[in-house]
Amino acid sequence: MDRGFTLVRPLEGGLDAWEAAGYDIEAERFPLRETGSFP
Amino acid sequence: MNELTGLVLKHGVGFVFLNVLLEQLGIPVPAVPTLLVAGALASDGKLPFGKLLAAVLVATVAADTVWFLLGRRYGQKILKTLCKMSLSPDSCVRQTEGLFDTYGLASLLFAKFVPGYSTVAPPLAGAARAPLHRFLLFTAGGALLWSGSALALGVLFHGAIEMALSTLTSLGGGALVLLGGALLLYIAVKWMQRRRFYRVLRMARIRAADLRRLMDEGKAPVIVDVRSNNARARDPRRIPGAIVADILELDDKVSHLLTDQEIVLYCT
Repeated sequence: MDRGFTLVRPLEGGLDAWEAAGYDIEAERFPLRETGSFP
Repeated sequence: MNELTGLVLKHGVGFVFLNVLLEQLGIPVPAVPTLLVAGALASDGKLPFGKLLAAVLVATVAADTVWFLLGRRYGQKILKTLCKMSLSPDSCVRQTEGLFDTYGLASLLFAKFVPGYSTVAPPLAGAARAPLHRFLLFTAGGALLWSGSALALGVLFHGAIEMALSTLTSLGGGALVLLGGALLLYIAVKWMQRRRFYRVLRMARIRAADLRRLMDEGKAPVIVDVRSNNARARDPRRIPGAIVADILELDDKVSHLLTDQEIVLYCT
């Protein structure tokens, strides 16, 4: 964000607040680092 | 004789074990001064060094394993709770997850030397579903480095430690007041920084209902999910249409946007 964006706001309460308000949520399965990637 | 030295001499290895176990479980009873004193006493032949090191290792690994299992059971919740108790909660989650994302389980080797990361690393490993046997291997390595360093410093500088303790004893209550005052001042400064940070956040944040309204009106800002890769793996939820970008790759992901474009971020 070094370019100097002038209108950046964090979402109050994050995902929990968004879901608690009853709005749509996508659930995308990201790869867990269960195997292989732990050194 | 200094009270700490007296306690270590009186109760021996058991006292050191209990001190380390409680500290590693999160109770604020600093163990490093005890380890330094124990190392100094071991160098004088008043405590068995081998038993001392073994006791500290067992205490550290046992406490870390408790945190690991809590992390495995409660996942992200335990991390959030620990960071809420931190004096710098704003940076706690990001820093700890950043270290873990970068170094994985190997970060446990140096976790004890990084303030704040020490307590959070084991539950983070549990939440990331690291295999128990590999966790034990790395956490034991880290415990050996940490306790070995503290005890070795005690052995190397036993003369200086005795002198420092004698000076503290001769200062009597004054030294305790001075140390306590410095600690209270540090906590007060961190607390004020935390309050100021929260005040700024309260002013700048957008509520979920306002974001939804903007989306419904067709004025949706660009939404960016800036959680770490591991955090997204543990919690795959996402606001529809959000750009997924780790904080380190954020510049690349938003490079095509105009600087007056409204952006909404979420990191939890």
